[in-house]
Amino acid sequence: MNIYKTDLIKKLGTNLFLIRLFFVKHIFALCLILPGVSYILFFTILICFSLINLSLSDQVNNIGQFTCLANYSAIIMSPEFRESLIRTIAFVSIGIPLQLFAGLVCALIVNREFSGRGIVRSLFLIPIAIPSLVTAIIVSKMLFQFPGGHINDLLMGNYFLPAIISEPVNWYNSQFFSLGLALCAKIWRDMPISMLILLAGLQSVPKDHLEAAKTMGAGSIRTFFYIIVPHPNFIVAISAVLVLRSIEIWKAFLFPYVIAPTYQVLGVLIEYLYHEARDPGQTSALAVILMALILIAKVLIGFITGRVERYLIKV
Amino acid sequence: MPEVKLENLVKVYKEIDKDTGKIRHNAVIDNLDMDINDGEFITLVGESGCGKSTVLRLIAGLDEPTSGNIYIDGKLSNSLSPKDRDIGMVFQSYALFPHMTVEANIGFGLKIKRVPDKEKKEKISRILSGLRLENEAVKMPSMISGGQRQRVAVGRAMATEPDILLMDEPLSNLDARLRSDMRTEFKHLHKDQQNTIIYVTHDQVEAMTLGDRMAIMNKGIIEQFGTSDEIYFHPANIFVAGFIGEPRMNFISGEIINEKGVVYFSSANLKLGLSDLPEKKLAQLNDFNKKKVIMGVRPQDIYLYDHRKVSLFRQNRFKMKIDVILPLGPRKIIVSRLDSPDEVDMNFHVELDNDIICREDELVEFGMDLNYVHFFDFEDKKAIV
Amino acid sequence: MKNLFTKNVRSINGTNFLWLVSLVSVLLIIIIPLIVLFKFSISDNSSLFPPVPLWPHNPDFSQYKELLGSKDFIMAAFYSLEIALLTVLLSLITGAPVAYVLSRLKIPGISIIIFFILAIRFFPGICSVIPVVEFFSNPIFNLLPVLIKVVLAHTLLSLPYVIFMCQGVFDAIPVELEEQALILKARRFYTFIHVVIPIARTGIAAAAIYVFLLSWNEFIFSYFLMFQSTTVTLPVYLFKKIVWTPQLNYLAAISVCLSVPVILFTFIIQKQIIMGATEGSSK
Ligand SMILES: Nc1ncnc2c1ncn2[C@@H]1O[C@H](COP(=O)(O)OP(=O)(O)OP(=O)(O)O)[C@@H](O)[C@H]1O
Ligand SMILES: [Mg+2]
Repeated sequence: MNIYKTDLIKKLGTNLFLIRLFFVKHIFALCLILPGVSYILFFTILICFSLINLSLSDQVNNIGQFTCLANYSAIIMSPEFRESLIRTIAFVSIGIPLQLFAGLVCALIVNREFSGRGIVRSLFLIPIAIPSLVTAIIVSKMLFQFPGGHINDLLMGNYFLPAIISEPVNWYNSQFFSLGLALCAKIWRDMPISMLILLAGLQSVPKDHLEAAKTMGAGSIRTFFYIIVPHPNFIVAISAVLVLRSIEIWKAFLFPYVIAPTYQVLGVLIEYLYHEARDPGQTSALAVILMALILIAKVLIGFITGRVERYLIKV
Repeated sequence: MPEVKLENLVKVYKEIDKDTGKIRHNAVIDNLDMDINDGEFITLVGESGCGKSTVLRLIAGLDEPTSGNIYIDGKLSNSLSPKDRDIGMVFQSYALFPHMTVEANIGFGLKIKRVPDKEKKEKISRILSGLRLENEAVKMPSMISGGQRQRVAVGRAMATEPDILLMDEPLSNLDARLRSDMRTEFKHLHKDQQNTIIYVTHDQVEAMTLGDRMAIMNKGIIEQFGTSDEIYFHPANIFVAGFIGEPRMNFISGEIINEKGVVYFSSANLKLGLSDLPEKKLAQLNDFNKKKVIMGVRPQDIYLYDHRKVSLFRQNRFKMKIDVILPLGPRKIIVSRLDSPDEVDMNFHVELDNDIICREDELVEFGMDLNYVHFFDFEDKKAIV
Repeated sequence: MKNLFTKNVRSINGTNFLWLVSLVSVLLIIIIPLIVLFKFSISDNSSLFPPVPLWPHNPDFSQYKELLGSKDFIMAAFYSLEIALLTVLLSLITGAPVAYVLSRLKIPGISIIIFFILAIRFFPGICSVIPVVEFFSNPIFNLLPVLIKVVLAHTLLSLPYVIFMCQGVFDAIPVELEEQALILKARRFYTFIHVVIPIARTGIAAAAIYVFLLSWNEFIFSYFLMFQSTTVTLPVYLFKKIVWTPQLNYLAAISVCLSVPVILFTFIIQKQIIMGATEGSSK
């Protein structure tokens, strides 16, 4: 027993010594890493903790009083939440395929060998270089303004095309048009990122596979569908676009806020609750719900793409 | 000038196994002992990946040994920082500072040492001319050739005149001519500064000519450490015997048999009487009666039988069919095939003068001088002496 | 333009034609909004009302002149610049050392740190902004000038990018260089300043530009933190202008001023942006 004890102390002692040695040896590294890491860590913990804390307490009448899930139930019961949830889900489920399609088209265009390819690729990067707010203004105030705006003028036959409509369309009276415009603006801006990821995926498909297909007489389109699409490297790129970009669309705030303020999606509802309704408690509850939804969506998409990947590899 | 002593040195790298994902311990240096004297020029040779660079890194203090001790100048220096060791090192990858000119690279150590400007300039220009780099002084490393870069790396290590100079294949990228010039340069340097030099190389000629002593490394241990004569003429084991010498030493496995007091070496291809061997060696071989041994003989020590005095090789003859002939200018190499399954190497090489006439597919009779024949224990592959 | 594509057009078949059509239409979709923006910024007032002409009746640069004379705009631009530069400074000072350590020291637990750094990137801005604003409005931190609050928030947003971009830069520098410096008796700090930083210079500059753009464009945090303040950053200034004075040519001129530096800088650091976009793809 005694021997065991001294053994333990000895062991503990050496362990402590080793830990001290570690710190002494890496003191330079620790000094370098401390400010940055503690800054991020502090805010990460602050954000998580404070969101949950705010969402569980009353922030309007008895400030700070613990109310359990009252904020959550109030949010979930409210019709605004239900409407904006449906809008957001529609936004996401239409947005993801569109995003993938846009990225894929651009990636396929640039994936070819042609002179001037570098320039074209640079031009394709422009959308991320335009601040989102500016994009939103171009879309809502210049192209799709009501009254006026170039698209209305175009449709009414003021330029080169014959008239299709006689009255200007008020885009912002219609849920479909205004959210659709916000979505298009979002996709326009995020297109380069999807394109770059997919391009990397396309280029990681080994050249000899493609050449083998060519020698067997497959055309470009068949090569694409039979060789590139099922290739594991390309599938990885696609699932990356799906996961990363779908998170982006869930997070969308600025475009719907500027282009479709009357038809709130969840992000816009958060801003409304905070600035207009002035209720940080419900705001935080909604923020937590949104984050949970994103997490669920992420896991779901990851699961589905994983399944598809496995299925394709088996085939 | 200090001596360096390595004692039971072990270096284990933890690696993550790609297949199982488990941590695996890989002993790169495995219980290595080495005693390097004051001002000695040591060369270190071995196959790629045997741990030569790791030994240098341990001596330099860039890595800490997992266990064992490193004594520099008699002082235990396991965890002494490299900057307190007074060493210079030429990295295998040169490690030139890409943002500094050749001159600045060479002067870096002097700048840290706060050597006065005038003295620094002189020293740099002396080193530059010694390394034939006068015209590259103000160029950036990216603008000079691989061989020139290598010489800059050597110059940078020499500039501070360290007590211990560690060089990791410093001449590997030079052409033959420049290489021999540089070797002479190293010899001069060593004579002037009398520092301890540990020199890693792949080139055995370099290792033999440069070093006071050479060490042969294999899989993290030192197989033999001695002068080039010792290593060439008395290899301690099969590895060393096969490693040094070009073409490789021939190995034939067989048995020692004692027929009516006469000792023979017998194998599938040949049977050699060994009675010409010195008494002592014969007695030792006698202990291996009926046991398996490996005979080793260098291609240079074998002759075509007809061309030597008959009396010398009464019993040391054997017949073999010539398979191919590789001409080498003044010499040529004859390759025959051994056909018993437990051989170390199926090819049997003989090196002859080019004017000796023989043809492929001809059956010829070889003879050899028993004084240059080595025997190794089949079990532990060590030399029988 | 024509000889650019002749090589591919030479053999006109279905796929080539499809490719050319989609290339042209994507280019149009990308370029047209920019032309429209520019057109509006040089429009005279008479060209703003329907039917809007395709090219202004009397194009002039009067809006830009007016902008440069406007005290509010100049102040906002300077404010943005100040915030962006301070953010670059702060995030490089705190982020680059972290990147250096992550790249050099392979400590076992280090992947946890990386996880936390990554985690913050996945919070939606609109969610994480609330606690940050609440935190900065508590009695102690409320005393900080708004400028500092915004800089701190932007630093938080840009740190992950700084760390990942710089880590890539440091990974590309062989450790042997530092070891060589150490052997030549240079101290660690000296080595960092005289060997590592000069070699990493261009990479770090790219990270700096990236952070500058991030801060220059950032809207959500600036908007929430400066909800009640009078001096604001350019994007917030632009947003407030949308709400109050929808004078389109003026808005367009501000937008152009906001976008031009971004477009220029983006072309400069294209390579890094491409790397940054594809980096996440392996996860
Ligand atoms: N940092 C490390 N982590 C894990 N394993 C390592 C590390 N450094 C070296 N090794 C392993 O140690 C072994 C010896 O490496 P070392 O560089 O000493 O070889 P070497 O003899 O110098 O070879 P070469 O002649 O090719 O330069 C190799 O198998 C290598 O994989
Ligand atoms: Mg090596």
